[in-house]
Amino acid sequence: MRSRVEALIIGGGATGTGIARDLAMRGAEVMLVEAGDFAAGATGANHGMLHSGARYAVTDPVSARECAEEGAVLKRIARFCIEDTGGLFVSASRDDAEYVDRFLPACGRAGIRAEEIDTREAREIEPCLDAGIKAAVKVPDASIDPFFLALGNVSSARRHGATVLNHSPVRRIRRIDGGFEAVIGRGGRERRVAADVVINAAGAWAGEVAAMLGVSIPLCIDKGTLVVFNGRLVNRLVNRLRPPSDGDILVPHRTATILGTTSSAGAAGDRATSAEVERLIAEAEAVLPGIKEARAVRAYAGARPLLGGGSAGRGASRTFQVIDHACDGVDGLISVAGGKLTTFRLMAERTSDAVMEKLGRAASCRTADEEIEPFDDAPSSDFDLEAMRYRHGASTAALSPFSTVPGCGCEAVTRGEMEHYASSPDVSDIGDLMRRTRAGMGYCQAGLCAVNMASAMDQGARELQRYYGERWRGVEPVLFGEQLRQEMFKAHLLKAYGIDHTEEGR
Amino acid sequence: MSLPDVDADVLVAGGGAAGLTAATRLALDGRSVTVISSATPATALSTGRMLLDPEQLEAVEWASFFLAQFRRQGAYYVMSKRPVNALTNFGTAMKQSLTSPLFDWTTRDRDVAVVGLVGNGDLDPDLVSREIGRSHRVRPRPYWFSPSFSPELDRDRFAEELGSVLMNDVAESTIVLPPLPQRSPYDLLAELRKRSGKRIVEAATPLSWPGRRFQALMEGTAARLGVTVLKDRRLMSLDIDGREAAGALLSSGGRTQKARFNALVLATGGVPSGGLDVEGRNVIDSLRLFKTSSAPSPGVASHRLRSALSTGIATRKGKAVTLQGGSLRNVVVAGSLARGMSYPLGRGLGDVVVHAWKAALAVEEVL
Amino acid sequence: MLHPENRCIKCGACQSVCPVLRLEGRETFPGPRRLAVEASRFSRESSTLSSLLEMCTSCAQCESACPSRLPLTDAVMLMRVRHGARSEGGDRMLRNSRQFGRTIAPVSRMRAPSEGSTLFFPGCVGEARTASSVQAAIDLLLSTGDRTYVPDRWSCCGSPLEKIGERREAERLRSINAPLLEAAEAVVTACPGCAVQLRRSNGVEALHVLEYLYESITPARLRLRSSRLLTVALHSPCHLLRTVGPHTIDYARELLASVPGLRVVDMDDEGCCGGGGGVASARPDLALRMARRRVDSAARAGAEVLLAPCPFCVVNLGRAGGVEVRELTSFLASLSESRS
Repeated sequence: MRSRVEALIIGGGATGTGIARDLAMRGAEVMLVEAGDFAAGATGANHGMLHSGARYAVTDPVSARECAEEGAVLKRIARFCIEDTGGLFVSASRDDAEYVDRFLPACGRAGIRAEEIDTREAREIEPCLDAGIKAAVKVPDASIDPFFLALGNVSSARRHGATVLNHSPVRRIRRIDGGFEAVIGRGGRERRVAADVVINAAGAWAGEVAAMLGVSIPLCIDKGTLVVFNGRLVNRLVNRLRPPSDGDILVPHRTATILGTTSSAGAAGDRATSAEVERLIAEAEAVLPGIKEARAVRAYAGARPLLGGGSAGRGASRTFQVIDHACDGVDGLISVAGGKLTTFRLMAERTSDAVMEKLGRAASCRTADEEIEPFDDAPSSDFDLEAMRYRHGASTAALSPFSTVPGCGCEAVTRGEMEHYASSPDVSDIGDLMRRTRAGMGYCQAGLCAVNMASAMDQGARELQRYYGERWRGVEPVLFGEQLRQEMFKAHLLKAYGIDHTEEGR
Repeated sequence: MSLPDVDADVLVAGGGAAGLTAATRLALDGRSVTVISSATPATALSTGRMLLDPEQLEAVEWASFFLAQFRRQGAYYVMSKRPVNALTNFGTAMKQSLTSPLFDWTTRDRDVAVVGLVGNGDLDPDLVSREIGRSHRVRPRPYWFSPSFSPELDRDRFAEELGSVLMNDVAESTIVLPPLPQRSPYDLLAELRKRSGKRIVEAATPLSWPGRRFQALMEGTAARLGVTVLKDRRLMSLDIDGREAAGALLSSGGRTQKARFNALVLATGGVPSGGLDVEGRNVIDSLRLFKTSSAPSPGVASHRLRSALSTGIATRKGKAVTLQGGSLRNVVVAGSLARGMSYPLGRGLGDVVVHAWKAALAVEEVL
Repeated sequence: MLHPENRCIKCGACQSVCPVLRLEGRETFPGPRRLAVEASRFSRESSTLSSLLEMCTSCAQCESACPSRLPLTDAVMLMRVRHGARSEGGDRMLRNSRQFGRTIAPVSRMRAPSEGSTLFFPGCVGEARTASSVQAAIDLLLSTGDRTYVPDRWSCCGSPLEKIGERREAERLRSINAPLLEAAEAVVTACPGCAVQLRRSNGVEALHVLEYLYESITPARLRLRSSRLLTVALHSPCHLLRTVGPHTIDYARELLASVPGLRVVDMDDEGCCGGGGGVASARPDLALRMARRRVDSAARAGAEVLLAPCPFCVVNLGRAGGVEVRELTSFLASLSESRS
């Protein structure tokens, strides 16, 4: 591990990893440290939406335009983790049918390609839509995989020479001559790193990081709960054509559908509740009546770090800010806060601009021009290979030859793929392996495959128990219907191994 | 046109360990018993091992009868006085009371090898070996064997090849293997023992051969006692006359069949078997005839899941209680269908068979 | 699309009973859980499955074993349609249907009155491929004094067309048959697929010949007897067993047991003949391997004749050679005393 870098980035979400990539591409010596696994914060707990911006056209036009522009950029540079499904905005029978008259012009003003279509056509594209929908508008929404996006940024940053570390929390940081010294926890020991510039991209924890240097940031945490359903219930993103509210959006995401979201004052570490899940489903029924019969497999809550000392909720702006703390007396500390997943690249660009200026160097940003990860569109002839190729794109070639013994049936992950990622230095627990392969993210929620993951990682019953306990918080709010049956069956199965998969806490 | 009626002293709905135990005991008492079964019971998905209390009269009764019957079908089990550790396919220990020369595991074994079969996902020898090593001083040696023949399709050549490898290429004297398909209960394991000269231990594995084997032994026992087992039949509805079940309607393919009986045993299992279902947050009787209630008991940390797992058909003096609140005098509930009986809360198959053994007595009292 | 496979709890019962998986191995055939349940949730990757989907014989063993009662066979068929798996066989069936109202061009007419009270429905395969055994069943019924007849213009029951997604054509055929079926007092067929389809889509109580023989005519009235000592084995056809009902095999056993001179032996393993689900035309090698497995089992049991109450089974098992394969009702017809 290096002991001196030019830029130390704290926080490994989309923004932090995006900054690492940008700065590395501009030739800076970069280190990024993330306390948990990459995308542990809001990046790993959002809706997976690549916004067309239409949702904010009426209420937050600045954010809407940012999303529209950046969305188009990402569709060029991040094809490897984007499904360009397109989106629909629909008014339910109980909604205000006239909202569309404000919506369409607002989209136009924000530069968003919105096309009103006949409700009959809408129901042909999406047969499961409620028969009573009153208006429908096509927009260029897309679905994005935020885990793989962050991991893609990490790979790219490393290729350009950056040091990127997960499971490396910053314990303390202080100012020294010419910069800063951070003490990082890693592998049970502490390491010191000196940096000229420190970038605080810690999202919901940005306030804590800033506080380490005696600075405060006006952040408020807005909690958003989402529910994951088995299967693709819709072909495109389906949004509610009304002023932004709870349960407005359904996003098809690989083998699942994500319904969200809520907005309430919260804190990092908040959990999704059954009441929130019930409310989301009740709202979505107006647009997709069949959602009552869908199988909810998981619920999670993300902590949106919103800028501004005011209240959280839908009124708060979704735009971002790059803060140069020279004005707070800490020159060399730069924070970036607020924003949306869709605008991460722009946030990274602005932040990197500020950093390069501090370093006294000029280098232009090329992140909008180069693909983050090469995208391989050539289909494969084998189901498992195709599933793997769709996950890992061009790097699939590095995996073969590999064991084709099934690892996770729900997500078509082979043992070979598990073993490959298990050997990465980034992977130290089952959760890390899960995020890189999607094993355990299917409808049985790691009923059988967790054992295979433990096996691939040379881990045993204790790690398995810990992993299950960590996942239980996302299961509890959806303990009804088919998933309750599934969890009851898992209790039977895991009992044979002496594991109680509902036992939380280390 | 209609199917002939099913006519029996006792109709048993459910063909898993509970149903077959009750049916067998009743047949032993001279009753005419018909068992109906619709899908794979949880018994066939289990590890096939059980914990029995040697101080409990019913457990001893069950074991002495059934183990003798299993022996006649070629499977040698003994009920041990103290629980013995079975080795699971994950390398963890599982307490159980049934031992056999063919799947004994004792922690005293020092000279142990764990052999995995390439292509068989049930057992990873590296994982098992490490896991055993974590809790015991001995750390067994892991081996991988790549069979040239399928144990299911080419049994003899498979046994010959593996037997020879175990004898010549594996130094250790105790070998742990994943479950293998067997035609008669232990023919393949016994053969490997003979050919290799080593002690062979089969890992206790759920969702695999051991459960199916146990299920087959139970079915074989019931058949030997003259129990009629009708597969692919489902209990659709009951004909209730006051406080008694006067008859039932069974499904057979696309048609229905009437059943007449003096007593009915409900042994259709819990949620995994399909005897209980989930509606919203509630666990209900799949027939939608009987009341369910829970008997919370320790077993899993989550209160909600514990409550769901402990839910089963409510009974009054062992007799099923209907949704209207009355109990049916000739309907007895046996096994995981009954409240409080679900596995994670109890000891598993052992509790189930003992419960069913006792339930058969309750049926006798009705008749 | 909302998924009926939502009830899957990953117990693996379906995988453990699938006859194709057990014969071919997981590497070659991933089994019903992958094909019907897991893969249906993938949007692009599942298009790689077409060649695997054609290996499913639609025996419904998986469906039978599933404790969660998943409609697995329908789910596999749906996957086939979704991935455009449509062999030339499918196109030919559609052409024939449009031209003749049958999936196979008619070959011969059954010899039977064209009016009566018991409508005998020959079925496309029955009439074109196993006409002699269908004729034998008709003759057997007539010999008992039953007023069996075959209407002049019956059409395909529609089942094979539904399976390849041709709903409109299936409906057209259904409506042609509707008045014919309604006019009959009883409807009987030798094909399990037809029996189920006629019940389901026409809403008539269509009985399989075995059901009619056992329930209406009864073994006593049949007066069967074997002229020589003969050892036979009975194959349980998947569709008959699982869709018409398991009681049909019980009936078959009792009918055979009532014949003096006949010894019925049990085979040491059970399973699918390999002929269903279009496998016989899409994957004849697999169909043959499965047929051989069944016939070898019969040979091991010492059977001289392997009996199967289903035209598809008879055709496919017959390809294996080794033991004589005969359709059950035509075999029973040959034993009927009223004929000699």
